[in-house]
Amino acid sequence: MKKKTAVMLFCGAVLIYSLIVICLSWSEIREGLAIGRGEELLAKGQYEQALTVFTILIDSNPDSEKLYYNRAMAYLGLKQYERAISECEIGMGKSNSITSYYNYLNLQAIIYTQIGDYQRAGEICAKAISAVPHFAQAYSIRASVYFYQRDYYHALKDCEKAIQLDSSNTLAYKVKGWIHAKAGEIDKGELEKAIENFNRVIKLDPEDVNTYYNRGMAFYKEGKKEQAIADFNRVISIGTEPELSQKSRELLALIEKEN
Amino acid sequence: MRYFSGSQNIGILLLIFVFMGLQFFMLDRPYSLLGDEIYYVPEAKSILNHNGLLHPEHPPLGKLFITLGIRLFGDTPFGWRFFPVLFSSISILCLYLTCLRLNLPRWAGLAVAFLFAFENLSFLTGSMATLDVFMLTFMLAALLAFLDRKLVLAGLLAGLAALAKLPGVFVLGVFFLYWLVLERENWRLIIIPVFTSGITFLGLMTLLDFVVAGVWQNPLITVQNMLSFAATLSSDEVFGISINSEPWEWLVNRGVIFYSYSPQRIALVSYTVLCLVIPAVIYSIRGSFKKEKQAVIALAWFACTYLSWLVVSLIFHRLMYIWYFYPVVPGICLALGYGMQRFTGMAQDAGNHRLLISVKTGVLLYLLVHLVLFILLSPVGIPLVKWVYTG
Repeated sequence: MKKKTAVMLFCGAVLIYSLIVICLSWSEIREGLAIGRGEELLAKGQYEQALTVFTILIDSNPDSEKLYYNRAMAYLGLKQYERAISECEIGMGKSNSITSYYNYLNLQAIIYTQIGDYQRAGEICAKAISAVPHFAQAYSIRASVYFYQRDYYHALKDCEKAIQLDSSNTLAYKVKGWIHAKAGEIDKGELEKAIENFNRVIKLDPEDVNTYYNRGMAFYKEGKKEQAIADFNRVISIGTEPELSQKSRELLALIEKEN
Repeated sequence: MRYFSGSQNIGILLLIFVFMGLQFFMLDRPYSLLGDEIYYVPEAKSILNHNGLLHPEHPPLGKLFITLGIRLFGDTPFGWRFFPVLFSSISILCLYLTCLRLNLPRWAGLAVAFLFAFENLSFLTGSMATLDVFMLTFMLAALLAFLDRKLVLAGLLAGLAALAKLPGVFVLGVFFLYWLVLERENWRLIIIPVFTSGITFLGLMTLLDFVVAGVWQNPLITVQNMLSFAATLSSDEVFGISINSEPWEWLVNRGVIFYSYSPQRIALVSYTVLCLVIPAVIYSIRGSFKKEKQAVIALAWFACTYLSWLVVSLIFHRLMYIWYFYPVVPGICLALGYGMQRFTGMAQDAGNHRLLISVKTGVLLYLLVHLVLFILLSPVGIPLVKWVYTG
């Protein structure tokens, strides 16, 4: 009888302990999942909803530096650049490590690139590279800055460096693809290289609507209309970029007309 | 090898086959660097390109395995993670053989291996191109050799564990505690492994440093540099999130890290193991007083792989992360296997058939819940974020 009571007490204690463990960790897991949900919304281009998710999360946890990064991404998606930059500054103020600082610098560089302030974007990338020279991201962002400045030589050089450091860096392949596609305007042989790089991007990120569009354009210029049609249809079916979807429809109509 | 012959081990082979199948199936999902892979994969490529080490704060052996993977299979997730998966599979086998060596019945050994293989944190860390998996595999292999009384081999493997990552040296603590509790009169048990591991560590450190950096370095200075770097670690994060946690927080799954959401890769310990850590340890303490080998090893493993971090945290305030719990998991699984075997044995001894059936059903149910949790938490199932937010 004594043994039976001891076993029951032991089982009860284990049960209570288990409940405590689950309760203590659940809030953290739920917050993590909410961030995941927000990131999913960002990836789908549903920036308004993502903004709402991250604002709620920041209200309940104003010291979490990661959340400002995500909210800046949402503002960037909504093209509210000034707000995005100020979110980066808040996040940078709260960041307590070099990696976090690096990530915010990169995001700022992306925002300035989108505004068209390439000078500032380039300066920020250089700062990020000097902070953490063995991370790939800043090199690939600087490559995109060089690309927009039409400095293709340095753009290609930064792409190679980024790929050497991280062969899964999508932006580096993307920029390489853009450079070869640009060169394809003069030398059609370059289009194949562009497609190769876009293939790598799509393998890494099968939902990258911009790259489907760019690859579709490269196929179209090569005269491979069937592959081009498939890519433009993919842009429309993913549907996260209304502008690109519209352009794709127009190109599909044009191809049909040509046939 | 004598424990590993005949058809009775088909279960463990099947388990490892399924484990490897799942790991290789998930290997390139996501096709990007996860967590500390952002340090070790570029470093492996740097070694491959004869540019030396980028992060000399860790010993080179684990990095060399990642380098070899990239050399053999290319700069792809398969290349980065091939050897980690291979080593984690070997670690399951080592744990199973350790159970047999400790006279646990085969079914209990299989249950321990099953718990370890399908524990979320172990499954996740066992497929990442980081150093922990190499360290743990060598530690488990060293323990097996030690229990087999192959003391030179045990020391050699302990040295290799420390060469993969410095905390691998904790396995010597396990040997020490075993010696202290069970065989204090046999000095050879502790002297030979300590001596051999020291020689292996210092000798190979010099050689491997030469291989990766091209210069001969004094291994003592290298170790001193590593330790002084480790002491300076005071803050870090992954993509902006503060991810460090204290050892006592691991016991309630605080400091969880979300490496990726789809596929889901969340560094958290399966609740089926975590909720039983304290009961398993208490039961092992009881068994250790009775000088039961299984209990002593389980407790010594827990003390060396977990309590050591607790001490380091309290004294040095060093930053720690939940994946440091990965090497603790085999010890807990072993303690759980010991408990299962003891409970079944008690029911058998009582001659109560109904009780025996109840205990066996309980064990099976527990293992089933463990599997369900694995499917829910691991990258193999539908991501939790979809479960929580769909509908």
